[in-house]
Amino acid sequence: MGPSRSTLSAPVSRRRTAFLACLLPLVGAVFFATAARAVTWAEIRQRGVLRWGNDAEGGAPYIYHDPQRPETLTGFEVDLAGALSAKLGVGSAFVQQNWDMLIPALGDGRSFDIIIAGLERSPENLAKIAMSRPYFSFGQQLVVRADPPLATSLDTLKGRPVGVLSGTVSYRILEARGDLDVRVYQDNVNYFRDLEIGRLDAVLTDTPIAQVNLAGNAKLRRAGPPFAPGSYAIGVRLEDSALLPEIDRAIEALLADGTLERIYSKYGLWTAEQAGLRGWKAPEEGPAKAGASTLRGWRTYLPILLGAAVTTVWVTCTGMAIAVVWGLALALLRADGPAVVRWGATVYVEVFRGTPLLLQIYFIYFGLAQQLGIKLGAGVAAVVALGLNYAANEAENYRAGIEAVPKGQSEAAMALGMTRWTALRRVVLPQALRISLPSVTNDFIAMSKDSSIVSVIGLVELTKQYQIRAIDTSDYIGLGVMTGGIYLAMSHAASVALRRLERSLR
Amino acid sequence: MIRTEDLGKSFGAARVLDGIDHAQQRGEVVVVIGPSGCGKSTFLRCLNQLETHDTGRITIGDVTLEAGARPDREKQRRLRLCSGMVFQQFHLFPHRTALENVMEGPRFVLGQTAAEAGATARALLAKVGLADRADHRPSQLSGGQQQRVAIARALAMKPQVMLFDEPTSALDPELRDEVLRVLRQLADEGMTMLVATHEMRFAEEIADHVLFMEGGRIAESGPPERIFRDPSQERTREFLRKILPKA
Repeated sequence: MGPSRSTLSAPVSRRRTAFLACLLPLVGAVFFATAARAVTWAEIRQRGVLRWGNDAEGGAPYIYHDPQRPETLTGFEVDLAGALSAKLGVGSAFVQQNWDMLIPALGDGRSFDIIIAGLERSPENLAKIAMSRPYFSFGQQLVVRADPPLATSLDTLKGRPVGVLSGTVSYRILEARGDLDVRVYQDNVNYFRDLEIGRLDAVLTDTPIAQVNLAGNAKLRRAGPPFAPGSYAIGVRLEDSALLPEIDRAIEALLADGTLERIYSKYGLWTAEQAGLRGWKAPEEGPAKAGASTLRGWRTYLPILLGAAVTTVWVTCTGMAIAVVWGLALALLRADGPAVVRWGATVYVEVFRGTPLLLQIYFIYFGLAQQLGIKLGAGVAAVVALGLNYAANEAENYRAGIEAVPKGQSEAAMALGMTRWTALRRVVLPQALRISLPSVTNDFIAMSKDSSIVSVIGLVELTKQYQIRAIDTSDYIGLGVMTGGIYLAMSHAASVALRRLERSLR
Repeated sequence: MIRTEDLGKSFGAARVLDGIDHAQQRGEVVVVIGPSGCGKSTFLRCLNQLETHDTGRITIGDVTLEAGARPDREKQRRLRLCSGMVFQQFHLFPHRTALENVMEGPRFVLGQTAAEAGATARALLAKVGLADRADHRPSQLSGGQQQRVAIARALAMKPQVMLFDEPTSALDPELRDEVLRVLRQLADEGMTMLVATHEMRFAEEIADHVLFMEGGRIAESGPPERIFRDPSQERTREFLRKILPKA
């Protein structure tokens, strides 16, 4: 995989990931049924438009919105797509697709013809799609804080936190070493920010990303020369044998007439590395074999997934513990607090219920660190965000419970001379909690799935581990069955335990 | 023991209590009768401050509460502690046993120990004839038994007066007697009681004094013999005719 300009998918899609895992056999069947359909070169010419897929969230210098002209896409891959289409004598149309899903979407053939999205010309990718000759050379760059200069190479960073993009060759390199505290990010901006404020000691990334992000930033610097050279190439369906040579010829022509040099120079990317593109020869290698079913290799993959499930479990349990306690406090403040406090608690509930969880996680993890210098660790930020968010739901559950207790109950308590607070604590609340318990149970199970959203701040929980492994192995089905099974087992265990609790309280 | 002067209460535009003047001696049993919506329930609820009166003053024992713009919660609570309230719908705490229901007030309002409150509660349950039901939940008791537990619960706070808001109206006829028997017993022991009820025969038998309420006012009052045999007001006569078809 290339430099993942991996994406921040919408919160909804993440929440549904666990659910989708169970649907994957179906999705997979559709995928394989349509994979055989080839959009040929002839069809593109007839249409007069080359449709290319990428993810606009990729960021500079690949594909991004120019801050000066936010309505237009720019970046060296945008320019490349334009130049390439022109060479082929057709128009060009950009198709948005989440980066993680580019390769499956290409195979399905409905929306775009080729991928220009920083895909690495790697054996893993060549097993799934055909790839053109390289259009860009890059290497791995280690980035550290300028002051004080800490590490000079990965070897001096043992046990230290190092940031890396999800699903990239950089991630693979760090993971293979096994001696670093690897923090996985979803975009290529925030790990630099965390490096600046000291949450990370280094970042490993592709040279173009380092190039753009270090320009004009005095706080960060390169540590050592680039290493592990690789190249980006255009992705084409395996069976599109007529299209691939056309693309190769077009790239060659763009190199020969200096178009590529002009484009890359515009973004400060025409480095000595790019010279090798001209003399490139296809290596004598057959496409790597597609990965075997992970179900057959369950002894390898199940423990990996279970390890990630541990993160899911503790994030959920801790987050829910915060939510249950804080939510109760909110409900009590709303039921029996001074007017100002009641109003404040109501505003809290509305704000946390009315804004996306994803936004809140970013706010707590990045926003607090940036504006107030409160640098919560990813784990703490995750459980705090989940806890604060769900507390709003729990407060509402308790409120519904409190309101469901007949008014006569608090009147009887008051008639005995209890204060409002004693009546609430001794009479109303015990009954209200019993009424609320099923809704709280539901939320607990919902949170076990919602917790997958914390992967955006670098926690590798179950769904994230599934994504990482599915991209590695292309086995969305086998891994999906295992992952879905683990989620089901967890939520089933939780609902059985909580049902028992409900019964014992009756 | 109980005294109200110009007691008034409105719900929105509706004047539910319109200047109630009432005085009741220690040990006296007063029965309030009147059609539905006449204000008798609100009258009792004001005495217990479950409703806040908006004119006049209430005195129970040595606590006096004037109507005011803002209810003084602590004073309301002190007034409430002078009286025990028994509701039409019992309102027992369903998550606690009969014994715990009776112990709840002494423990968490008077600050008694569990042993202390438990002993009192058992004695009171025995008094209302439910010693063997101490560990039952309300859902396991009949309506009449629940109401007797509710009476024990109110008595546990050692109130100076007992307020009964239609204590038998929610009960099947065959269950009413066991509750009325307890009320009779309390009256015989000299408890100061104010009872709102539709049980006319019982009222006549137990009451020292009867109030007939209509439209938020006391329309007629007097000893039971006179109110029931020879009421002076046409409205009282009409009400009694309706409610005592056979008499």
